[in-house]
Amino acid sequence: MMLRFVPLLVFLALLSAPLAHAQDDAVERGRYLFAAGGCLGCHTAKGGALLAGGRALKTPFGTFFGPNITPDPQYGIGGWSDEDFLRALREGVSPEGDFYYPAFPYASFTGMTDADILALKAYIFSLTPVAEPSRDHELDFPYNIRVGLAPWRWRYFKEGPLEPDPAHDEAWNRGAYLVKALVHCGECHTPRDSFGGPETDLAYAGTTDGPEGAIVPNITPDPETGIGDWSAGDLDFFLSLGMLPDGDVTGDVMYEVIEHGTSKLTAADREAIAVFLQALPPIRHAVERKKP
Amino acid sequence: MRKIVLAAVGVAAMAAFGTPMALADSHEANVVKYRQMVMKAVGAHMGGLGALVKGETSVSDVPFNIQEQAAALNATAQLIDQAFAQDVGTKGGDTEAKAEIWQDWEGFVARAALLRERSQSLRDVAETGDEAAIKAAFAGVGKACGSCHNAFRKKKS
Repeated sequence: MMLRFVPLLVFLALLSAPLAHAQDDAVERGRYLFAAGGCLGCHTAKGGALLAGGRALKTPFGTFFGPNITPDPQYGIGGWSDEDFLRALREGVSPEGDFYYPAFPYASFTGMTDADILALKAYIFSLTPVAEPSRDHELDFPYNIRVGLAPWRWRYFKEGPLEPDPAHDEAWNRGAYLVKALVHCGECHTPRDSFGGPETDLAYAGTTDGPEGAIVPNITPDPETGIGDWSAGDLDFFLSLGMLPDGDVTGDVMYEVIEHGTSKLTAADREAIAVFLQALPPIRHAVERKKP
Repeated sequence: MRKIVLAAVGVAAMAAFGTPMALADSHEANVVKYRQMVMKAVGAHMGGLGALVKGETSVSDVPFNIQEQAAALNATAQLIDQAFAQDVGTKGGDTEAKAEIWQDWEGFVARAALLRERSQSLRDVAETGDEAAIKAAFAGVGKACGSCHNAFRKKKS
């Protein structure tokens, strides 16, 4: 008697299989994008639960704490729709309509494609929810007033997505997408002015005011102050192992970026990053350790 | 006369408490300097091998004997334990060593042992001349360097 339902069940199974498959694909692609985007770094405290927040980011404006972005409906982002997630990354606006601080690198993520943003969401939503409240940022006056971000956005923010540049080849365009949007290299490697906006004429030329007081090197191809004397092999080697051309090892924040991010990229993507960086205009800008 | 006495006391005090010159020659400073030299040597051996792994040169064109180079790296890695064993810690001037080295000495020694182990396997693999295997073994050595530095060094520049 139940047998007559079998064809129906088979039919339904066949119908849903490609859908489930597409979702699995999105999760797998999202896992890759998640590594490249370095989400773990800011949204996970040292020794804390994955993405449950709490990592402190010390800046000249105060200390930011990465919030809980696990799929927990109460403390995380479990209640977010696709539109909410797209808006957060594309526009830097929360589901409640608040502006995010640019410590959340939406000014870079805005360059991502819709498909990539949603794949990233699919992956994050496949992770374990953690019911832990996010910690409030500890900012100095007047930076603690979010409405104050309106002029910042007007002055510095250009909404994406990033359009491919037909004047350049595929590798360069892929590199541009990775460096400018997904991997958001400029967030640390481009110095910021006193309003926390990027100094675009020093794009990728490094700063002594990096996160946690780090010295962030010049990664333009200037031969003396940048990485102009690095070969493509040097860069690939660095982005996969953290090893500098002289055999030394990079430290702190960049080591994390490599360990959780660039080392997990495909060799082709690392090469695309190298192609893009080596085609940047070289900027002579020496970044040296401050005198104590 | 009183002035001369005071000046003499001043000079004596400077000698006793140390000037920057005196600090440079202190036991602590010597230990730190030795540690840094050992690590520089490790880095130099890695840099030499790195030229190969970056794919700019094929194994047959390498202007040195990979096996000997890996053996030298392995031998230098033997010095890390003793270089850091002295109870000087983060004293002794400009050091990037974190206090965690001595707080977690077992962990530190284990990581140094990992470097010896992996440089030894690189040496063994080098004998075979298998380019892909050599590159993989070298990457293993690089990861040993990186994970230890990430845990125990505060890079300053």
